[in-house]
Amino acid sequence: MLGKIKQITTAQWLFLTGFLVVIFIAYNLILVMTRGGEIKVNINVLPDNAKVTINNKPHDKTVVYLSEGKYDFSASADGWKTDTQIINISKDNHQVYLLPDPESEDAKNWLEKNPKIQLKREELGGEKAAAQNQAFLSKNPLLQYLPYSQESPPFTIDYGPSPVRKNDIFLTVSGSSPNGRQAALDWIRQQGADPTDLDITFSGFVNPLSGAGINSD
Amino acid sequence: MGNRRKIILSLSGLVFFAFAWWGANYYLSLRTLVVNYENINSVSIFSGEKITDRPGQKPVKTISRSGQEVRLKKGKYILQYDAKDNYLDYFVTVDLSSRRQAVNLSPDYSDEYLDKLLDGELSNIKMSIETKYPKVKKLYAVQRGKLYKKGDWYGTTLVYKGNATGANLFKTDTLRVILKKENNQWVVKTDPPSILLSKYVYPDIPIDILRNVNSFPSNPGG
Repeated sequence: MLGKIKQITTAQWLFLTGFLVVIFIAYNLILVMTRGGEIKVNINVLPDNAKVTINNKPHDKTVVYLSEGKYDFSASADGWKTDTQIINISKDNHQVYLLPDPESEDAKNWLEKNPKIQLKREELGGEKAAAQNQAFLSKNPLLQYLPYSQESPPFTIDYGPSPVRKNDIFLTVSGSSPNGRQAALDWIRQQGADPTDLDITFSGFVNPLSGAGINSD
Repeated sequence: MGNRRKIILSLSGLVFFAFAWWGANYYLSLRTLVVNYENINSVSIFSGEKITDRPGQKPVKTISRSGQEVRLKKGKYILQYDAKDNYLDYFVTVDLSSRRQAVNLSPDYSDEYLDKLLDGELSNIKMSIETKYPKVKKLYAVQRGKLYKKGDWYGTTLVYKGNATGANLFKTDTLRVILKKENNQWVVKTDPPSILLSKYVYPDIPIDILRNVNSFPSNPGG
């Protein structure tokens, strides 16, 4: 065998190298063509034997390439509570953390006996919370300015968790007059947000056309 | 056959194979887009996803017949159409990912045509609002407003004109309302008229109509 290798000429070595280079280039070109526009998404899962699905389709790798958009991620394992999340994948949001909680006694005991894994879960939990907070702020950039008050015309804008939409907020405009309420909407627009996209309650405003009317003289 | 000739032939074969492989993959990556339309003269297809000023950019394809099929690479495209008279020139974006995809284009009326149509609809619209909210006749001035889409959506503001006193001065906000024409009747779709019409409260109303009506000037009474 060694003798045969020694017999290969320079030209033949060049040919072999050229062949491998062409194959390498062609492979990468195909990758680029088929993955054009897709985002590399890292999936962090613990326990690592949990079954992961993306839009109800099984997936067994820690890296996946997806187009921008909303996806349903889920991780399940025997004895663990399934962790399901709807995540909006974008260039700024491409880390997914799936951390089922232990439910059965076996799962809890296993976690107790593996403190390093518990530590890793806590680390990933922290990263997940930070990523969710960042995603939340990206979705609602107005929050960085709230609460906000103005004296003339008067209004105060504050926010709270939405009672009807998970992971969403609603705004309240209070302490105000008609001019103040309009000024509040103008201020929201000046911060780059469109009030149409927000759930806003005007505290203290009684709509004359919804019941309690105006008694005009 | 000499070694040199063998090497040249092998290299040529290799290069040919690589290009053939690349060509086959390119062809297989192409998608079919079927463009159906009405009230349109022609459709120009541009590569990309944002409408920006594109002086000199040529369309990748032009469609001149409804139902025409085109083969394009996977990706995002803008279909910009030249509408017929009384219709609005506009565009749609398409994300071509499926092997075969159809898009149906049906332009809305132009703003000028909608404004002409409004003259004939305004009295019926006002009657619908005043029937539903009898207080409107006394307390509010119904502004002219606007028709949208194919003249079947309408939005306006109600500007307070009454004589509020005391605490009632704080209830004199300009209110916004949207109606839709259904079975030849104008029906209020945002009940009650409100200071702001939110997409969360009215998810079935086209968002562009909500945004536009919310942007109408207010003349608060307070």
